[in-house]
Amino acid sequence: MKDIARQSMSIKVESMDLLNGQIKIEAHASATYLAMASWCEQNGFFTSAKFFFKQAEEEREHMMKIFNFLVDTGGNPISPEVTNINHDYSSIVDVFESTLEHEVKVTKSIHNIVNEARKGGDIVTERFLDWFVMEQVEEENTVRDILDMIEVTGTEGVGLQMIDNQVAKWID
Amino acid sequence: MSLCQLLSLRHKVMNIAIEDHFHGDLNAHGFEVLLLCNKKHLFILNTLEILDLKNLIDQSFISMGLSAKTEAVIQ
Ligand SMILES: [Fe+2]
Ligand SMILES: [Fe+2]
Repeated sequence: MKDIARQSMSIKVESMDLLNGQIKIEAHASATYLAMASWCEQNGFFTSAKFFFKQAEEEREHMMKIFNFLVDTGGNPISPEVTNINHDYSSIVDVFESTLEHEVKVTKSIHNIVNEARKGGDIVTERFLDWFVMEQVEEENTVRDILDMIEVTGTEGVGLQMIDNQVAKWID
Repeated sequence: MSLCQLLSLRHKVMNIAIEDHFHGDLNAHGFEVLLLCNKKHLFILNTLEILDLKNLIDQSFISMGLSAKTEAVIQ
């Protein structure tokens, strides 16, 4: 029975649980960015809205990457319930500050799964997460660059519209 | 029972809010209904049976070598 089970599943159940948790987090990130896109559209920050629409799509891709990994490893991927999406922001600066905060949380969560996988000797999960570790470095960096740009531009007068226009640089 | 069905049972059992059994209103009678193996079986279990089942499932995954845990979990 032991070998049969191992032949049908190539990761540990604890890793599977954590990865199902991460599926939920990525889905939550996707929904949060969609809410931010909505806020940007309604407040006249159309370039930033485009940026967040794209982010929302990327987060869904992250989610599907993990989902498919659980399929490939014989696990039980769970379609996530997404609740508690914030739609209230005080300014475009608030939106990007919340984005960085959110990405840092995601990074911590991924590092935690890597550490747990390592402890449990689950090499497959650990290696699978390599891509996510590097992706998070890039995502955090993008938002940090945008926040730096906001700082330099300033929010006085036409500053806000200039900020929005410059966000285009980070949409590719 | 296939491993997929066992994983799905594990998910259902893990999602049971056992604390609700000790709360007068949330789960007044302390029963859980479980549908297993693509709805082939239906089980009605009480609090102690759920706790036993949780333990049994935990131990099963350990003995199959699919858990990072190695020692027996608390009874
Ligand atoms: Fe992500
Ligand atoms: Fe992200």
